[in-house]
Amino acid sequence: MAEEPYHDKLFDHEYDGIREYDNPMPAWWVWMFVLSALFAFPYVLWYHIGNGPSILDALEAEQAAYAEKLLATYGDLSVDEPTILRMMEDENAMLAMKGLFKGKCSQCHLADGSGSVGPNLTDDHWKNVKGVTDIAEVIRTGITTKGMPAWGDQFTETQLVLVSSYVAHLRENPLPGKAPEGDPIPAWPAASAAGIDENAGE
Amino acid sequence: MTASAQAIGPMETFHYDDAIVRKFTLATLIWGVVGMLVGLVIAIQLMIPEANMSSPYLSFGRLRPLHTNAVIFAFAGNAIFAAVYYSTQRLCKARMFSDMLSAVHFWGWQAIIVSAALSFPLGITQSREYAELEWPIDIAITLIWVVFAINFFGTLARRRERHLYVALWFYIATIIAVAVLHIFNNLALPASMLKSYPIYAGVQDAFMQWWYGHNAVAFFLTTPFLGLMYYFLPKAANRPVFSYKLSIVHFWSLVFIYIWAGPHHLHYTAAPAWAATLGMLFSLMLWMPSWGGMLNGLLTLRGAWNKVAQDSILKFFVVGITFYGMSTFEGPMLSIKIVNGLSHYTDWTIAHVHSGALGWNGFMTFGMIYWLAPRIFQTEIWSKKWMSIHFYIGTIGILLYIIPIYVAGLTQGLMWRAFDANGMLQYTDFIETVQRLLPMYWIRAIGGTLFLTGTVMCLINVLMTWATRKAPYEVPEQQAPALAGGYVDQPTPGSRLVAVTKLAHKLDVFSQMHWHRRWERLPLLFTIWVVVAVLVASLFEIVPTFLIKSNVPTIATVTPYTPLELMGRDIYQAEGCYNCHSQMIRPMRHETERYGEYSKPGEFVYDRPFQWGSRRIGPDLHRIGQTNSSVAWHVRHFNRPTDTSEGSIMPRYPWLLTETADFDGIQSRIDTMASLGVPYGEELQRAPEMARAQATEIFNRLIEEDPTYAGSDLEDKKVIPMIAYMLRLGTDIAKPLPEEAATEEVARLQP
Ligand code: HEC
Repeated sequence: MAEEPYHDKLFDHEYDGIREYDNPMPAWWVWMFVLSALFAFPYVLWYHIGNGPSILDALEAEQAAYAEKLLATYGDLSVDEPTILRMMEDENAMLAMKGLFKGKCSQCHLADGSGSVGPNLTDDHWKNVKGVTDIAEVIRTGITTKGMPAWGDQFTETQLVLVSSYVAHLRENPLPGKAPEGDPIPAWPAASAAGIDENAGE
Repeated sequence: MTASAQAIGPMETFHYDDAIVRKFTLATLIWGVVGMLVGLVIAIQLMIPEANMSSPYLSFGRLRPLHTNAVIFAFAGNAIFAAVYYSTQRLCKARMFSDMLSAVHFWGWQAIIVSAALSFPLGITQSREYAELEWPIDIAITLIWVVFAINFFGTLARRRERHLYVALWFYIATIIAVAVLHIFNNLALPASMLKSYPIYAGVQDAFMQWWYGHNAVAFFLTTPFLGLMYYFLPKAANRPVFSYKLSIVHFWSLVFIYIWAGPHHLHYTAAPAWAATLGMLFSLMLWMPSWGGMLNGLLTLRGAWNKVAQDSILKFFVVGITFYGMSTFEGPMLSIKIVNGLSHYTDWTIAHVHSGALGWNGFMTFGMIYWLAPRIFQTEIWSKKWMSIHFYIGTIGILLYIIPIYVAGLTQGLMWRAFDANGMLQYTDFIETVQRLLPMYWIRAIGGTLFLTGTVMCLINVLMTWATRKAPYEVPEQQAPALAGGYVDQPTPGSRLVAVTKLAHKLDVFSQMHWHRRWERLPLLFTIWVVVAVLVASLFEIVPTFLIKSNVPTIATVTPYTPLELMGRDIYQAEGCYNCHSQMIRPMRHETERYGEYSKPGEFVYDRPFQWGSRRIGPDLHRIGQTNSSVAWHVRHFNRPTDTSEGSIMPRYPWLLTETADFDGIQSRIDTMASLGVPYGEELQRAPEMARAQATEIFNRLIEEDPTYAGSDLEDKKVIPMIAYMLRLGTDIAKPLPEEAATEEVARLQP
């Protein structure tokens, strides 16, 4: 800052011994101030008057990209028994759902599905479920009077299939956890027995 | 200069009142220790939740407002008053206007602090950050502030110094703006002696609160401290102020621009986008006006740096001003939307605040007190060595506080938004993102302990200095001529330019700022301009927020809270849940994936006050009613959060399961809400019965979910209304459309 013209000329006034210099404002300070104010014009022009993306546009783009990714990976899944059974065999899908189950379901079913407030989902006893499509139905509409939330608004059909498959697949590894509730039901039918076309949706 | 230009009256004799300065100084340090200690206690609770001993009075949500209010209004507040009372008398060459008002101001302010210290642990709160105090105390604050204003402006009126020095400009701005902010943010309708509902709801309430919240930082933690700096720094350094012109320009730009910046606290929320943009752009513009203060401070020390190396007081000032510069650079940066998208709701905000609070407010205060102590106690400072140790221990304390907390903020912000290769959240479990921060919290607690230790050393040093005081104090006689009428300003200088347009000449004369010199001898005119600056900016933002209907598009399925839910909502506020939970899902995919549909402005029309929060120590709760509808889960969770959520650091709330809810008290609250325009019908006649009926319903649901609760006495306990509120939260938008009538009802409500 040595080149600044600070001549340090004192004013003749004085307050309780405090004096003031008649120095100019630092030029870089003035310019930065002006520039920071001018920045407002292009910003408003682009984002509010022109067609710069809004925050909601950005969200929609993000969501669309994810939907496309889902479609590309799994195709357009529909909630029916063969599809749910088929997706159970898709190891990648099951791995992907592990985190989602942990985030949304583990508060009541624990991360491994062994149950706390909600029932143990790894055993052979079920309260509201006879077949895998019942799982999807329970998840979609919930059993709100008994504490199980409805997730229908939060999941797309494809996601609903994947979550249901994940829950159904938990039974493959029964855990002691919460004592069984409801009635024992037979094992899920084998994917092939349910008449699955291995290539469906691909 | 001619005699008439001086306009001098007869010589007068007077004395300064330093007794009041001594009082404010001691109060500063005593409350400082208390406020910082409470801060340390809650910092420890974050790592060891059991440290609250399951006592409602020591619960995080109740103590956090005590900490913030104590350090802002008790520690910084008393420091400001000490600075104002000491410097104003000297700068005006006059005793304070009235000793009686000085005393009322001092004792009234301490009484307000004590009432805050009692009411927060009791859960009496408006739950508006830094404006939590309930309405009777708010009225007391208003009255004491008026007393302060009369005392201050009265002193200006009786001054024997013609022109007002820059420190006084900042004090004027402080007094005016704080009054405006405090009154308009706290407009509320009392429902009882200790409970009120704000006249604003939802988006508008959020807007008012952050207009206030941000400007409390501006006019309580910035302008008075700049005033303090302008007096005590040149005194301590014995150096002239670097640039008078810079003082003028940065003062007015600061006062004018600060007010606009509030909405930067509401980025990505349901507040209108135009407001957020205004907040961001004006925050960027605020960078240089803030740095003007820093420059004028640091450049005043040109040629005095050798002194700084030897003088602890100047060291405190230099570090304080440097932190001011850092936080006022960081502030504009955090106001940029995308940066804010990462930083908001994380510890980054906490780090930002503490670099300002500990660095700027804390160190400027300590510097001032060490400079004042020998002067007001009229003896040597007890220990220069302790003073120097305090400086180092405090500086290390600040760094150990803020660095890990910056890391914590960045870590958590990045974890929240991380997606894996499948496009799914990488850290779905919120607790995982909290556990990761705990090592940083430990280091922070060490930093805080060091800083607090320094403050205690300062208190001891001042007390020991006081103990060795002269008794009685000398009260030196001052002499100065009175001001007389007929003052003639110095002639306006001509233009320095040659051969340009008339306009250019005028601009050149203007830029020499001679006009300002005239304002400086006319406090009333000066104050009017400050009022204009503060009000114009406020009105430009507030009026459109209230008048433009499209700011809050109506949602037909959103209906008022039932009496039981309202009871629950009030308990939520009393427990201070908003200190750790937001209710605002931002429109970002990682948030909608984690919490559900993003929050819409129309969902908050019955929220008085709004509960959007500012920090997520726990997860967002806006859609908790959709994602967790289990009564049994909530009961177990409130009783002991780790029972349902392993690794949770949420405090226990066992008293919610044992304290009886006040069913009869809900009627007056419903009535108050109705007076504010909430369309209640049947509730106006029989709110308590309706609340009881819903409580029974929820209790039955609990038993249906978990029969072991049959025969328990929970039905009338506080946990039931609280759960009613939880189950309701964020569910309205998913409801089927009701008949036309309801739509009209809601439409009618919109201003
Ligand atoms: C707030 C607690 C809670 C959450 C969160 C929750 N559940 Fe449940 N869930 C329950 C309860 C309680 C039941 C038992 C309902 C009953 O008694 O019929 C249940 C039942 C179920 C059942 C039926 C079990 C049976 O035996 O019939 C399935 C399947 C299920 N949940 C899946 C899920 C999935 C998948 C998620 C996450 C997307 C989830 N739940 C999240 C509480 C919850």
